[in-house]
Amino acid sequence: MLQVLFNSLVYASMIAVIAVGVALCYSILRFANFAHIQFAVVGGYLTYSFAAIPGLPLPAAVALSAVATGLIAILVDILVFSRLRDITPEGKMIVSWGVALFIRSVVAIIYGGGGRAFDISSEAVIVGDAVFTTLDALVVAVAAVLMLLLHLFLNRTRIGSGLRALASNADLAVTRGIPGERLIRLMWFLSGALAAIGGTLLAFETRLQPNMDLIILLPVFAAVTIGGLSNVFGAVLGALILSFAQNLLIYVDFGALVGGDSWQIPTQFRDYVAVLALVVVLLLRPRLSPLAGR
Amino acid sequence: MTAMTDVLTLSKLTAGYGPITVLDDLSLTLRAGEVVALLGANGSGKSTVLKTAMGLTHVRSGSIALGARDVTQLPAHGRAAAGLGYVPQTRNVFGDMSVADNLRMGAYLRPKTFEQEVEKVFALFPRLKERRRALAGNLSGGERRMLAIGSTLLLNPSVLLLDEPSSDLAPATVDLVFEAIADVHKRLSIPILLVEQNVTKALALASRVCVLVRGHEALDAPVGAVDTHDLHALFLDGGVRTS
Repeated sequence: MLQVLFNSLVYASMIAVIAVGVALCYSILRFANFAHIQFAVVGGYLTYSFAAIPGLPLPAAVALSAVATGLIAILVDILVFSRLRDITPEGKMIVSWGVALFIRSVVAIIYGGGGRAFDISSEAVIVGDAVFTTLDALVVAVAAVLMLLLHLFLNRTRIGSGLRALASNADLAVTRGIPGERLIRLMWFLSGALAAIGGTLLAFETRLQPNMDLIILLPVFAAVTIGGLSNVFGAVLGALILSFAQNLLIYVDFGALVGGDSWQIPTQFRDYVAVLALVVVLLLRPRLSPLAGR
Repeated sequence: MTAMTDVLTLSKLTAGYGPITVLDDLSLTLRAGEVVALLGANGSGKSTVLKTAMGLTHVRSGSIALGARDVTQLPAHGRAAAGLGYVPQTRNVFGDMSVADNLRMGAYLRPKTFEQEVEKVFALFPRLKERRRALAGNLSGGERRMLAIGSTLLLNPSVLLLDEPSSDLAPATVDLVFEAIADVHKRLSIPILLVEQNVTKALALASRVCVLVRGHEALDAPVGAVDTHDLHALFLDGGVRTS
């Protein structure tokens, strides 16, 4: 059971760091940004490229990747979404699919179709009957620090509060002298940078591969939807709930539960938990559909 | 030229939302020290005048000047920085933020003096101090109006645009809110453009009255020179009574 907890925490950490960006974007611009997933992929690959620079330590490579991906996100806003501020949320969502496909293709052109792995040294630590690695601990710690910093930024700083005000009531926020467009750019930067770090952590734990966007798409959007779409820390909670549910489901021995032979749900069914969670949330609260504007 | 200086000048404004035109060739001037009551029937475009002054509508032609400065091309946040304080009729607080955070957002452009300035707002509306930890969305209608006005005052505006400060409030609260507005006007001698349905309250505070009919100014006169019957005629018929 401890193992389920560990695994859930590690997986939730990576998903949460990516998912908060979707929630940030939704809270201010009111659309589900599917292109956001690609920021995680781009960030992972950029970290890989920067890490190849001789003499550059890995943390510096991650930081560079975060900044670069943040700037790419701003560029996406300048080139695409800033021109579409007044169209419907559904329209923006569809455009975001287009942007996602474009970025996906660019990544494929540059890095090709093969997978790449980071060479991260990691040791196993045994706690009771469970095992986790030093890398797992690092992933959870990085995610926790990032979420704490984001929380402090949004709630304790003037500009962060300005972002919350913009999310709460954009028309009122600008009449208070809050520079709306400038803060929207900042939101894109933060989302992109966080996604890059999330994507990098995911690449550390697994590997870089061209279809990693499809692997994280479902859990990220399920987490954000469970958390209430525009609620940044709801997304973190959503990631934890989802991740725990997924890991618990494949851990429980259903065969033994009914007194028969040992039978567990195969691991590949993990993603169906995300689908199931989405279905349940949308049945109970259809207003939360990422496909519905507000 | 009179001794009074123009603080807000709307000249030949044609404006609206998207393809819809609400204001039609509207001109209106607010002078130093004045309270101008902007009256008119529902849909006559009163609120749109304030929104247009603030930069929240689409201006097709005409110009807006704050003092001698042309602000027509300035975005809303720039107009707030230039000295325009706007209190919308609805959605005038950040509902999911605390009262204290709402006030802090009012002082977004002047964060350094916030602690002193907010005490002035608390002196004006002591209720807000008691409720400063509450979520703005959980406030009563009157408290919410006080918060909206208080937050706007923290901008240290040179002109105040008030959109129906009495709407949806209990009569006792209306009195309280209007006393506060009169107090602010007297102490800070801040000129106010006031949109109001409560004609009696508005005329008691205002020195001049403008009546809007279908996005066009139909009357502009000192309060002493208008007859309430004429006002009602304007509201109902949309034209000035000739008798």
